[in-house]
Amino acid sequence: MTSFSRIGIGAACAVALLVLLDALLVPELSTGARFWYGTLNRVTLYALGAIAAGLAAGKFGWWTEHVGRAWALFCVEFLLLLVNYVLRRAAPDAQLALNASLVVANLAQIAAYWLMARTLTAAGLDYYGSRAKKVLIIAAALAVAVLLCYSSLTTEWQSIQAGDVRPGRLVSVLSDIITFVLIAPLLLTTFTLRGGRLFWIFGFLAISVFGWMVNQAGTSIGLFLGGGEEAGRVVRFAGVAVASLFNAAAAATQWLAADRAMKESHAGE
Amino acid sequence: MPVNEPKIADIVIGKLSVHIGPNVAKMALRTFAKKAGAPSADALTAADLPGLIQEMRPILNVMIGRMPAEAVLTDITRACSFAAPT
Repeated sequence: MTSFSRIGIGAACAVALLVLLDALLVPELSTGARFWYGTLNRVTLYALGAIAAGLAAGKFGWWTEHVGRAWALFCVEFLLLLVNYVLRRAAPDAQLALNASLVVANLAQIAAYWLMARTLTAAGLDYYGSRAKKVLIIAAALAVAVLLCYSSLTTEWQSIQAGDVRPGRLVSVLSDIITFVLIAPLLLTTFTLRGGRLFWIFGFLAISVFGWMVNQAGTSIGLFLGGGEEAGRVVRFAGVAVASLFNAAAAATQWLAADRAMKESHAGE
Repeated sequence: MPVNEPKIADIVIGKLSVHIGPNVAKMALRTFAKKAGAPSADALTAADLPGLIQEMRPILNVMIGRMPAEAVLTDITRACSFAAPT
């Protein structure tokens, strides 16, 4: 087993543990304890995502390299998600700060996934497989994205028609659709790079997008499972845990792969 | 020269595969061997190596980052210096 697969197994185990604790522990807690438990969990996940992405970005000169730019943007995304979450809890009336942090976090997320998804193209290479297969995978991702976001999209459209424009929410829904579509090029890149160390990075990033999908569809999945509002909350939390921890796993893998490449070269001298 | 010494193409593919996998390594070598002036990847000689390294640098910079790319390219140059000329 490689260090990279161990990172993935570690992230999966952490998700399972967090979700299990959340499902079993939270219903037993008082309202106050529930508030602090939920806050601590989210803040820890977002902070971990930001720190891991920051370390990876630092390894690639932050903004001077293609990979560094992507990780710098992931770092901004998780930092602002953290700020937005804390503001929602501490200052729910600070609408401007709430909207600004949510909009910038979502834009950073789209840009980061976009940069990673076009790594092969930026390097002058192509995805593995026929053109028909690529079009089919992208079309399937678009269909899933629209299906998952249809309800939120309709709600935002009705709000706009009623004259109540919520920029933070609107950008969030649109960025979800774009992010979910980007799972297609991420999966194609993962498949193309199989057998190499970079395979793990793109695989973990694709799983993190899947986590955001689960978060978006959490309420519907909860209802489908017959668990109602509480099950929806647990599924939404599971989505955030998958997205944050697998993003951190991808960042750790990127850092480790770069470190190994340099150490192996020095060892051969 | 012993006949069992590896060809330059095999060494380059082996070194690149660790990072970008065998599919992309072969695809990249096919593309960049021609740009470096070799008739094909299998016909690469030691004389083509500096050109090949120059051609591969930008893709590796994007894919794995500048410093790791330099480390991999140095490793390839070193490994190929022991390769059999084809």
